[in-house]
Amino acid sequence: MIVSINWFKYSSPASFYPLAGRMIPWFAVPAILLIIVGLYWGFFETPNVLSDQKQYYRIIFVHVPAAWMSMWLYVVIAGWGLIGLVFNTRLSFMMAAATAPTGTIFTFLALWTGAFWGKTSWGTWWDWDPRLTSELILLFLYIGYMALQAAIDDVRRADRASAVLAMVGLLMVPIIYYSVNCPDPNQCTALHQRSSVRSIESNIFWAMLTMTLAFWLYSFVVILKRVRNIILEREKYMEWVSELPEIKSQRSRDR
Amino acid sequence: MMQDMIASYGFYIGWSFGAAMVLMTGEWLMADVQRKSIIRRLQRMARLDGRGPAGR
Repeated sequence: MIVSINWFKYSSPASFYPLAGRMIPWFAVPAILLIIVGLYWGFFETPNVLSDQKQYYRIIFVHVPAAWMSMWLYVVIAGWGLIGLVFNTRLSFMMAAATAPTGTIFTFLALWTGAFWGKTSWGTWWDWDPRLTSELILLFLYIGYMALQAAIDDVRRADRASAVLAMVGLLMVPIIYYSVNCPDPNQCTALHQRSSVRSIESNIFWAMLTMTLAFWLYSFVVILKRVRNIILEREKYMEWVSELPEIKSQRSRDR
Repeated sequence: MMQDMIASYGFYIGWSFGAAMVLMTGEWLMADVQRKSIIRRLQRMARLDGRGPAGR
């Protein structure tokens, strides 16, 4: 049986608002469970050393998922921005705006946890290494995206301008990746090690992947929560908003 | 084992995982607080609407 879904129906904030509300628990419960499982696995079921690194390597279970999410969410923002510009759908811009704070938090966390890991393994909190510097620029791009959106009063203009900024800033994502993974290692002088996911012990790898999945599901939860807030804020003069049960119930109580 | 880890690297691991959990929980709760505040504002608007244009 072919199930056809009218996707354009859900591009309307009025249709998406209740759907997002229904989806939140489906992501929230697995996110919490996976974070608990990932932390337990990472702390109690993995070896005490990773190559030449001692127990402090366990920062990997928050650092790497946060760094992956920071890049992925930026791609998502640019994608929503592109869809918004092409199809002129308000919801796409709202989704992009809702994603930005979560991306900012993950980028900050990648830098923060990287500093603590760097201090133990390199002996320094910070180095102007290509990977660290490009990740810092990504943080500034996130902040710039949110600042630009807040700086323009006309919401539609703010959405379009910040979508363009997000798409231009997308160039930063391959730069971050290739900052340590350039084809010829002799041409790259980076303190940050090259990606070693393929060679990592499978137990550590799966614990890290569990945390990544948990962070991903967590992102869905907070983004959906925030997009619902943005929808309410932007559509507050619409009839359907005043007809929502959570708002209507108060009005009928007052009568 | 765990005690060794805490004694040697508790500061670094604690600040890394602690920051992650605090920020993520904070973001989650902030979204809920923001929602409550928006709904309260919308309820107030709806109440005023019901009392006519002069807001009586």
